[in-house]
Amino acid sequence: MMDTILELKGLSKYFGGIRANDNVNMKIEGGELHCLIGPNGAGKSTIFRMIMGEYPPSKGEIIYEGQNITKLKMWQRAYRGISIKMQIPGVFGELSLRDNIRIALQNHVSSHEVEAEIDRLVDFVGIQGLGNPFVKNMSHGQQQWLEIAMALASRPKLLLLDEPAAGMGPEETEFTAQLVKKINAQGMTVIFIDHDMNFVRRIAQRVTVLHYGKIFAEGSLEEIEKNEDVIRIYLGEE
Amino acid sequence: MKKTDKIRWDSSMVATVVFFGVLSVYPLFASGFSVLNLTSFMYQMLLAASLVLTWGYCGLFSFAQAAFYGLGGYCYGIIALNLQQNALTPLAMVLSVLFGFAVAGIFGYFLFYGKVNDSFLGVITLCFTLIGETFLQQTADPKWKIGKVALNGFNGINKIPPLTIGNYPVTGTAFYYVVLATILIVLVAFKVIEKHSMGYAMFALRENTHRSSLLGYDASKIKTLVFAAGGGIAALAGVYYTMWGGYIVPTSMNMTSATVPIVLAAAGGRKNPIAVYLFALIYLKFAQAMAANGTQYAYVVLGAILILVVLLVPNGIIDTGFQAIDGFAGRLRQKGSKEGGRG
Repeated sequence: MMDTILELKGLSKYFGGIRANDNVNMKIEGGELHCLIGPNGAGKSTIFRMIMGEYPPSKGEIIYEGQNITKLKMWQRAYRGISIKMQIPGVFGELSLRDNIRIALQNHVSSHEVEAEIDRLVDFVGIQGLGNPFVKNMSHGQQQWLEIAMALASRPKLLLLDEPAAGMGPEETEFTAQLVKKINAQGMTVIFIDHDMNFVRRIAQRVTVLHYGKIFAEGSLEEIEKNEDVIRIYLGEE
Repeated sequence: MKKTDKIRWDSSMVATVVFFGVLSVYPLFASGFSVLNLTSFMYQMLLAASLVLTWGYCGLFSFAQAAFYGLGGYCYGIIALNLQQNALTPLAMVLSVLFGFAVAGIFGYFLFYGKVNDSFLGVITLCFTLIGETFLQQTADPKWKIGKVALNGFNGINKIPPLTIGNYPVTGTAFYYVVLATILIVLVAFKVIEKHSMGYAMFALRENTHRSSLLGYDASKIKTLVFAAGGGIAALAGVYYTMWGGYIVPTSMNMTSATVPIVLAAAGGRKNPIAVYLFALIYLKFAQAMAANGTQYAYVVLGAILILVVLLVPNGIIDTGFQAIDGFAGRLRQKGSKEGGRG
């Protein structure tokens, strides 16, 4: 078993009277492909935003590679090897495909490696046939894959994917599933959020179920799918 | 996509060569008055160019460029008159630019580390500029002195010496070439920055500050540095204004002075320095012609242009024209390639 790469200790987030997360304790081992599921409003995206530094926790700590990063700024966490693909594509629409990746890449490779690395990432995520269009002219799925390429550009150790297949058709979803598995097979720890259980079944190794901001259940995919309480609150009767 | 070894000439590059080519030889054919006149247009182009950096490249919509312009002019006048040696005017110039840079940097620090919302940036910078003008207007009392130099309230500071190199005052055509060289250097520097990592960092912040932070960019630091650099460029424009006229007044920082550079940048094409230079030249010539004919409608026309630009050509009139020409030329090249049997 790899070392723990990420630990959330008593993590809570309150927005006024709303408890978005409440005393979340979680450990992610290095190399895992871990999924967060839960109903809408369960606090999944809020956890991601706290990990990235967008929201300061109301209580608790975030330990990354043994270091307490709770008070670090967003850009500092990105430099430490945490990268995120957002639920709504966070790409630069008015810039070209290559410039988007260049921006994500340039602080992490030398200037003479940039073009080759852009080519490699474009091939890796499967958007090599598009040329160099303005990103606003790309389809939603292509923008999602581009954003994954941008998230990979910094060569992170921990990759957060918030609904990586959202808005995609079946073929695109399958491609994205294979892409995430390929990323994880290279040793990167991946935590992803998704509502599509077919997608989750394809790739997740471990699953954490959130409900009303708290961890409701945790375990392998088989364990979660057999958990009657999880079935009742989230998976539904089939 | 592989890097190409050939430089492809686009309409902006052609316009740049023609623009500077014509301006370089202009004094050979023009009268002394015309040269002085064009010099005044060029330092206003420089002021508008400061907005290419801050607003066009980095998305920082600032009314404060006029403040740094005025402060640069005041600083030059105060230092030059206190030193009382014209040979030290280059030092006064450098210190004034650094002063503009520093003031902008300090102001920017509070704005960007204080996480001032983009929508409030324009309001706060306008207030900063108008406060500066208001303060300077009320300095008529002789107690308002810095060293030997009285600020003189509404009347401003007069008899400010021109740039002097050794014993040689740089005036007339010589000063024209100094300002021309400056706007050329600024344009070249901007073009270099566009292809540098700093340029891409600015573009990223302009497009989406939040996403840029998630990619590892320290947004507050970069914005502060860019704002400071824009302040330095605006201060240099103010120094040139002061050298040109031999005076500086509080109205260099008034509402009109704060607004005109923004409109010139917007209407020209704020992301393209040569587009801004061209539009500024055309508009300033037009405004002068209107004033000479006794009409005061130049600002009305400018306001109408701004409204049309925002509604119809948000990338600016000149830059949109460049893009249209480049698009047409690109289609012609493609058609030529197909007809040549390479399709």
